[in-house]
Amino acid sequence: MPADAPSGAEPPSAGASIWKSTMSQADRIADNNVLRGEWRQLGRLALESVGTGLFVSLVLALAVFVISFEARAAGSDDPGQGTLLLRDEGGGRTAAPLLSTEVHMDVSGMVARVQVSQRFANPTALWREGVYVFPLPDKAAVDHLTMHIGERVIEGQIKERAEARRTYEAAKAEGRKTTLVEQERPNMFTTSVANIGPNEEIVVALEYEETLRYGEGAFRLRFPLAITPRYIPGAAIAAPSEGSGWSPPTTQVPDADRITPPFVPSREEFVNPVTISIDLNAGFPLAKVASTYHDVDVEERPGNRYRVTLADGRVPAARDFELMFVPDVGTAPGAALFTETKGGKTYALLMALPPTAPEVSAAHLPREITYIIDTSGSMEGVSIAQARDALAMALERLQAGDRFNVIEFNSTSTPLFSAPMPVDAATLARAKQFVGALRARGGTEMLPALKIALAGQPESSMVRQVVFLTDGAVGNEDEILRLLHDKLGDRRLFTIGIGPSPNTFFLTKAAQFGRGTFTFIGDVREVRQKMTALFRKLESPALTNIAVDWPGGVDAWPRLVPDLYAGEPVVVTAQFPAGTLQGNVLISGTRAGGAWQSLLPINGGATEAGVSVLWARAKIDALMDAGRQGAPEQDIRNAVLDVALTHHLVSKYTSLVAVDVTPTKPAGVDTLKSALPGHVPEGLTGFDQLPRTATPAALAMLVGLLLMFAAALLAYFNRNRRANAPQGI
Amino acid sequence: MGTVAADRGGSFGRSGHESRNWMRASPPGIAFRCRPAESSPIGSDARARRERATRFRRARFLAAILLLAGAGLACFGGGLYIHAKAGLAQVLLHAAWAKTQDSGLPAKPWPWADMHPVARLIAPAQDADLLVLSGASGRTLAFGPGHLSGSAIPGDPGNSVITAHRDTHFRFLQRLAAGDTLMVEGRNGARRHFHVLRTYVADYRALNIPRDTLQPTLTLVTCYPFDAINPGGPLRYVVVAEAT
Repeated sequence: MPADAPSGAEPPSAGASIWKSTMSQADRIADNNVLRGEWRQLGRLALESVGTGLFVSLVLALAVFVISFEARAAGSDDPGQGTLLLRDEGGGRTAAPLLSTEVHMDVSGMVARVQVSQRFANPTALWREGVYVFPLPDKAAVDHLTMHIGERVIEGQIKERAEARRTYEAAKAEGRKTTLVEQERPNMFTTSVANIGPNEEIVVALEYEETLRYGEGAFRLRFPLAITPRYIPGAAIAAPSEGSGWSPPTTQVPDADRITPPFVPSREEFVNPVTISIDLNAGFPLAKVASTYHDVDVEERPGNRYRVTLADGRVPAARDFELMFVPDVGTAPGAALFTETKGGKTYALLMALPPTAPEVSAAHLPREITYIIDTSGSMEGVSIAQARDALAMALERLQAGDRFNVIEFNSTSTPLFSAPMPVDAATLARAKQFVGALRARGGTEMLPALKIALAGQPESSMVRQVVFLTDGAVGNEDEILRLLHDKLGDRRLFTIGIGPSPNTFFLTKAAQFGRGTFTFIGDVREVRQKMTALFRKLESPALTNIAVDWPGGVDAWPRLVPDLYAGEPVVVTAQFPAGTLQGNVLISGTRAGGAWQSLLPINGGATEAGVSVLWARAKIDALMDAGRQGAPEQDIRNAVLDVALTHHLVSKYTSLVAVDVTPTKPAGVDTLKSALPGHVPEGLTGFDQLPRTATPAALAMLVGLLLMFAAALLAYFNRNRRANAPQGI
Repeated sequence: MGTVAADRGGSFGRSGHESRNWMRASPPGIAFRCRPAESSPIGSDARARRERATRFRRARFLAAILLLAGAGLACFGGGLYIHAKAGLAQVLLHAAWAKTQDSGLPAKPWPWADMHPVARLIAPAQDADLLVLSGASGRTLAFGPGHLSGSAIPGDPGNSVITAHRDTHFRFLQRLAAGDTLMVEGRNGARRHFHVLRTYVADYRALNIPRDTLQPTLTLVTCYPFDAINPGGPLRYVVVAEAT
């Protein structure tokens, strides 16, 4: 009897029986009513199944959640989603200090003053030290440091490098908050911040001065945001190591431990979100203001002023930023002079644009051109694709009468031909096949490849050019520059920087040593435009033997002005004894046999703060070059120290250090040191492309078992119900 | 202290009491709902309708059970399939590897394969004999350990990075310890011996695997912990071995 139905019977079906019994009582109800009833039952069934389904899913979801939560809890002491865990010396894992960066640029005329504020926040209950290795433009003159602790601001002092380090270590040991900024390479710096208290934050604000780059009719200002992990050649040496990099010092790169910061993939949540804002005052009307690789909002203000901000607000520090602006036709001056008087001296920055060369001469000079292409692991991803495209275009451009060769290098060097070959259909076909098959992997042994390219006679009757496509991600820059200086002969070296964040210091320096130019290709869409511009330079004569004659008593840098190609200006800085800012400066040079000269009066220059710093930075740069070319290190060091300490500049031999007055860390408490990682540049896949290494098999099987168990339960109850249903009906 | 404990005990007791009430309340409810059916007159028409309804109800239950069981089987089977694929692929790969060594040309393990074996990795003491595939994409890893393109070829100078799933091919990593032996067989059949230097666990976002080493080095990476159900998770288990 239904009344005896077990209490386990499904209540909804009991509800259905109410309806049925009502039907039985009203015996003569029309058939369509019955039909409607069936439909209603069907509807109810649908609802019930959906309900049951939802219930089962909820239970399963809960089960999965509980299980996975337990798995996570068992697997790590993860303090929360999105927190980066660092392995410490004891083998434990601690949340890394959180870092974010704000960049503000004031661009005035040809000069940019940039403030970089790095915010270090400590989310843990420990006392922390953060060490962050980061990139800056290769010509940046870092001259100011402040450490912000809440409302308090502590000024940084310039000191000789070892002394600055001692000051920092002493302050750290005494429990004071302290910051140290050191230069590892002209475009790579390290900020160390010690004694960040539990749940405290410290803001480190650096400032630098820089000259804008002009070429191809546009001004460009780069701000590098990532470091492509450097290749470290040489055998490991057991040297006392204070750096926290992933590479030990080696015979070829004795400071490798300082220039190999840890890195994380760029697709991860930002480890260092960056905001950028720019106040631009060019001083003349502009036709275009744009950013090359990031979306920006450009707001025009009265008086040819612009405000540029990132459209996305915060971006990952994963690819270089570049601001580009084009003067209105005819409004850009052919020459510009900026001056500053400081410490009894007057400093000047002079920019002069030689008239553009006549278009490529009809008579094509036969050339011998060697392409060197970097196929190391750091090029894997977007970079190798850009390099292949660029090289394919370059091959198209070769003409009968030219000779050429292609050299590929990674851990080993592979030349296409043993010596440069004449251009013909057969050699071109072989070259195209060779280039098409290039894949990126392995190390970056640059020296052997350059030795092959620079073998043979130092002089030749042909125009000889070497085009070098690379991201420059090596640690032994100076060693390679020395080789270029010694072996180049009459060849010219043109570098093409490939990828989202190439080593611009190495690439511009190599081009300077090679009397060529540096072309930057940051995106595969730029290949055609940038390569076309480079071909113009390769095929038109350069302005050489450039001399800048100043009045007597003037100390001008650089002393040797590099050769110029179409559309490039002469940029020089000078120091005048007090009150002698007068007279004329004569700039002269030769191009394709003809002479060019220009006489500029030294007056009417706009006053611009920071010109003195640019002069000091140019002088340091020239001194360091002399060192790379073989001048004794001790002489160079003394000369650099003199300039850097006077002008408050960070250099290879000087650092900025800021120390809080009173100790805040309790005595006897340790400070935990963490090396903060940077992003691998966006699009590079040769580094951390570690796939997911667990299958969902166990999870699938568990869910499957649970579902089957649910089915079995249901079957059991159904059987019970049927057993208890009225028999014989 | 005592008061707080008493308060807690009290509230616990109350909720228990309520739940007992609720349990007791349920059965009468059902009985009430069933009562009208009992009092209904039973005609032949009504009986037919009832029979139809019963059949309907049974079909409904059967459908629900079959659906649940089917979904369960599918899920379970899917899990088994992952393991079966991983195992079977290695058998086919070993055949392809033998062919590659005979002919000297890369042989595909199955006609539509878009990868080829680059090396054979053997852990004698752990009874693992695996063919390492070119590329470390998720698709490759279903069939075997994947060699990270961009890292050195296993056995060559430099660091060779190989990844595989913790629950299939690289399950044996948990049994590797410093000093254990690994062997790598190249395409030419030459074998190179490696000894495990160390093993460690790290957050993969803070994992810095050197790109280049002077000695031929193997870096084997898999997910950690080995027995976690959840396939996500940030930890990786790393084994570093150097050529002897």
